Parts: sequence; C-alpha cells; structure tokens
Amino acid sequence: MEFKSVVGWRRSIRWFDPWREPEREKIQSILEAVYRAPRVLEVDFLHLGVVYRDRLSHEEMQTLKTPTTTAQLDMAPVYIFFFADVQALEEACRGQNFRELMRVGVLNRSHGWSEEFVTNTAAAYLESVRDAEARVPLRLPAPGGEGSPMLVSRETLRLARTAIGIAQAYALLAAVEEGLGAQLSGVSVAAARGILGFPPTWVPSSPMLLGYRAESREAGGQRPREPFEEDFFELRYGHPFYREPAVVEQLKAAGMIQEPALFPWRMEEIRGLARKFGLPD
Amino acid sequence: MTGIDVAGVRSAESVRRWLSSRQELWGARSNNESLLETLTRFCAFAGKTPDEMVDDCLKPGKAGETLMLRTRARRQYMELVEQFEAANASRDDGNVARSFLIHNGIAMNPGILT
Amino acid sequence: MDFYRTVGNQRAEQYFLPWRPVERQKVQVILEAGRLASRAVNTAFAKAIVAYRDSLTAAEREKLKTPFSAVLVDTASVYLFWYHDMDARRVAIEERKWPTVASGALVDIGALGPPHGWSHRYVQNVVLPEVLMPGLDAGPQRGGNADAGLAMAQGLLAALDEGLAACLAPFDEAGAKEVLRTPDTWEPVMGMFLGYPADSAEAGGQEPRPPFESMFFEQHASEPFARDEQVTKRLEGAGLIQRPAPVPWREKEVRAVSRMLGLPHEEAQP
Repeated sequence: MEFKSVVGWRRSIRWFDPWREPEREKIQSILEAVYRAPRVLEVDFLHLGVVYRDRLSHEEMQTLKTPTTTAQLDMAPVYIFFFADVQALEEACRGQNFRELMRVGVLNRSHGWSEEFVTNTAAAYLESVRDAEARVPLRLPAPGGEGSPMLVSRETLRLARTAIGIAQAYALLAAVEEGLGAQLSGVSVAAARGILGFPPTWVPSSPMLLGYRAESREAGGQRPREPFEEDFFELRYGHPFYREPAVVEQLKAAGMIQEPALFPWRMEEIRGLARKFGLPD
Repeated sequence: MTGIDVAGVRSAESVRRWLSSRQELWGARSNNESLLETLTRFCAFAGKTPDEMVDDCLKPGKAGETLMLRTRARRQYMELVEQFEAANASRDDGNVARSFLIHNGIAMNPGILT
Repeated sequence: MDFYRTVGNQRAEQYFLPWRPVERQKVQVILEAGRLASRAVNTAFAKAIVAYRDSLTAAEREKLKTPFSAVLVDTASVYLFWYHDMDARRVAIEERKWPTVASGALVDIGALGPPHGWSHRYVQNVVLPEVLMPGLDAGPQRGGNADAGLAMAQGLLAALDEGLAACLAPFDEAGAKEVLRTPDTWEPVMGMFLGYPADSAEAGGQEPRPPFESMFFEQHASEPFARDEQVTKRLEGAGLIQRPAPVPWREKEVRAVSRMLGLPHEEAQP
C-alpha cells in the first residue's frame, strides 16, 4: 500500500474476529518493520513480545484484563507488548554502537565523530542522561517482595518512552499494511509481568492488540482531532503553522485524510457487532 | 421482593437515564417494552429496585460531586447477572441487565460468544 | 511510496543540500501525518515547532545545538522540534474544548460504547475521576510520553515518503526555549532535521541492529521469536530490508560529499 494510504486507514480497532489468528508471516513482517525503526541516540532500548491469546490459560487471561479492555482482549488473537530496557542505556554509555556506526560510515569525521568524541562527548552525554538528578522509581510490582524498586532518571524514561512510541508507530502502520486491525490497549502490568516474565529493568507500555477486523475498515470514520493550528507552530510558540488547504486536498486525494466520524451507519454496525459477539448494548 | 413491577421500574430515575442514554446512542427505536419487562424480572431476581442497584455500585466521591465505582459491588453484580442469564438460559436477558448498568456508568464485561 | 520501502529507506541521514529549500507543503504533510497518529484518550500529547535554518541568526542556531546535532543545525534546511505537552491531559479534562475521551467524543462516534462497557456516565463517573484525573495535582511531570514519540515517528516516515532526508537528534532544551519561546509545560522529544539528501539514496546502507532474536520474543521473555527466512526474502523484495551498511563506495562518497559541503574530511591516501 502507498504510505499515505496506510496512515489514512489506521484506526484503533476494537472489534476482531477471535477465531482467525493472523498468520505468523504477517506478525514477523510487523516485527521486521519495527526492527528498522530509528533508535533513540543509538540505544538498543527495545524489546517486543508476541503473545497468542489461545496459549494463555483462562486464569492468565482473567488477570490481564482491566474493566474496559475485557472484550477486546477476548476478541484479539494476538497481543504485541512493547518494552524499553533502561539497562540498555548503561550498555550504550560504553559507546560501542557509536563505534560500529563509525566503522560502517554512518557517523563520520565530517560531523565531528572520532574515538575521542565517542569517549569524551557522546558517551558522556548518555551518562548525563543516565545520571540526571531527577529520579523516579521504576514502579513495577515486585512479585514475592523483591525489595525496593530501582530508581531511574526521568531523562532516561523520556528517551525510553520515545523509543517505545516510535516502535508502536511502526507496528501500527505495518499492521495496516498487512491488512490487519490493531489498537494500543491497556492491560494489567502486574499480570503481564507474571505471564511474560520480563525483567524489572524493562519499562512496559500499552500492548498492541492485533487481529483480523470484525468491524468495517472505516470503523466509523477517521477520529476527530483538535484544530491543526493547536498543535503545530512556526518559528516560535504561539505562531501557528498555516495549514494550506491545497495540501489538505492533496492528502485527501492520497487517502491520508479521510471522511471523519461519525458515519451514518456506524451505530447500527456497533449494535450488529454486539449481537454477533453476544455483548450488551 | 414484593412491589417491583414494570410501572415501578419505568419510573425509576436510573431507568429513565438508561433509556435516555440508549435513545441518544442508538435511536428511539432501540427502546421497547420488552427491555423493561426483562429488567423488571432482573430486579425481582436481585431483590432490588433499579435505583438501589445503581446506588450499590456507585458511591459519592469525597467532594460529594462525583460518583465513584465500588469495585466489589460491581463484581457482585456481574456475578448476579451471570446467574440471571443462566437461570433464564438467555444471553439476551443478561445483556438487558448489563445494558442498564452500563448506561448508568457501571462497566459490565461478559465474555464474548463465539 | 510503498509503505515497506518508505520504512526501509530510513537512515540517520547526516548530509543535506544546504542550498535546496524544503517546500513548505512537504513540511505540512509531515505535520499532518503526525497529527493522525494513534494517541491515548485521543489527547494531543505531541506538539511541534517548525524552524528554518535561514530564518535564524548564527547565534540562535548555536543555542539549539547539542554535540549530536551541531552540524545538522548548520546544514539541514528545516528543523521540526517535537515536544511532549505535559499539560495536555489537564487541558483535555478541565477545558474539554476538543474531542477527547474526557469530552465523551469517543462514545459519541461509536469508537467506545456499551458493548465494551463504556457510556457517557462511565466516562464522567469512573474514567475521569479514577483514571484520568489522579496525579493531575502534581502538575506537569517529566519522563517522556510514548504517544509524542509515536506522532514524531509517523511524521518521520512522511518525510521519507516525500523524498526528504531526515535525522532525529537531541536539541538544547534551554536554547530552544529561548529561541522558540516554548512553554514550561513542554518537554523535548527529539529534533527532526530535514533537507534534501546530499549523498546517495542508499546513504551507506541500512544501519546495523542487534540480532533480531535478541529484540523479539514469543509468549515469554526467554523464548526468542524465530525468524523465518522466507519472510525476510519477501520483505527484501518489498524494499523493507535493504543492503546493509557499509556499501562498497561509502568512504569515497563521504569524502566527496564532505568536500562539497565544506565539512572536515580526510583526503584519500595515495
């Protein structure tokens, strides 16, 4: 699919055909897209976990659910979890990734890169992030009482969450490219830790529910947004970036900007889906 | 419990809220008498009026202005609805009760049927 | 451009043609793509400010630089500074000007509804007080936001789709605050440095990554996701997987481009 069309067709899908598991090839393709995503400051933060609903026990499923994610978790055959390992920043402070990029001609002398720069400047910058004064506990539940949670700088979390967001963007769009529906959703973090067994240095985030859509591709229309000028500025804050109508029209023609919600038949669709899955209306 | 009839159920504030919320979302044709009849049977099953059930699940917040969900009560009602559903061998009946609670702000999450 | 090729074309581009301006329309396309990104509770956590190298003084450009972005600031035509608006949640809840979960918009449009346990009353009586409002009293909290990164990433891909070179690098927060007058409630995500590429489209090849199986697991963190070579072959054909760095001519290319742009370089050994 054309990139702009992929962006345009992305929706938060909340209705999946639960009996149709996405092919493993499609799941791998999504992971391969994330694999090519840019790294934040060349730190290898990311880990992703693919979980198949039908390989979870009934008890595990029940613990994962929150009051408003029950139906989606029951419907989506696959969940992809995103993590950022804050320990990766410690590794990155040694500078090996920078050295590798220098070796293959990505980072060059033209831009100031040298062994001295890696050791004295780039790695030092990462250390300053790691050691920044404002610190918070990594509030992961400690099964069986593992002692105090580790402290991590807010700056480290800033980079880690950015890395997660980049991965989520790539994964959501790749899901659309593969003809699947996807949504970032909430689950019980404590339950996820028990099931997936991830280490305490991994910062979790909203998993992506994945499957074949039960609702229409349109899903009622593109979701509403605040005015463009509320979010984007030019030259300085408070000076909105002028939104040229001709560009908007081009993007409509390209399929990136689509008909906004609410389609007239959407509510009937929802009630029909509710009947399909025995859910209340 | 004596005294719960369709007329009484219809006049409850929580039922008016439910029907109004349904109408706003699904349109006027989504409301019909059978909903009230089913809800009345559920009230009799629970031994509670509609307003009592909602009050059981939502309590005033500290400031008194908002309502807060009572998690345990919500879980108890989820189980009660499942029992009602089983007793009537009808997911549709259970869903009427769920719809009433949901539109009153109490999330109900049955497993999906496949 | 086809999606997978767009993804596969991503490089940490370092070399831009300084004399070739980026069309304003392309910048808007990048912002439009970022605006359409997924975001929790439909709230606008991502914000961005566009600045142009040639509209800034040399002194202003210096203030924006970090060790990672020094040369990028001097050579890229356009900068997009992406931010996490730490006040977005409070604004969505208290002001309710725009369609968010707090305003009930997602129930109105059938995105969330009774089949999933949602209703307007549920939003007002449970979601707002028990999910969205806790922690607001503490004020804006630094520590990043995945949705802001998500929007930026979607914008980055749009830049590549528009045939631009793009590089993400940190910028000086205090300097940007002075130059761009950003509010205290905005926390930097990354700078996106844009321009037309001065080097070849391959830009040296796809950059190395840790082993695939070290990043992706299946069902449990101890179980790597086995990588099927048939899938990678298909994705090579689709342009997602491309020739890895370094390509054979990279050293010569870097030297020539550096010379063209007046950047430090080592001359070839005879």
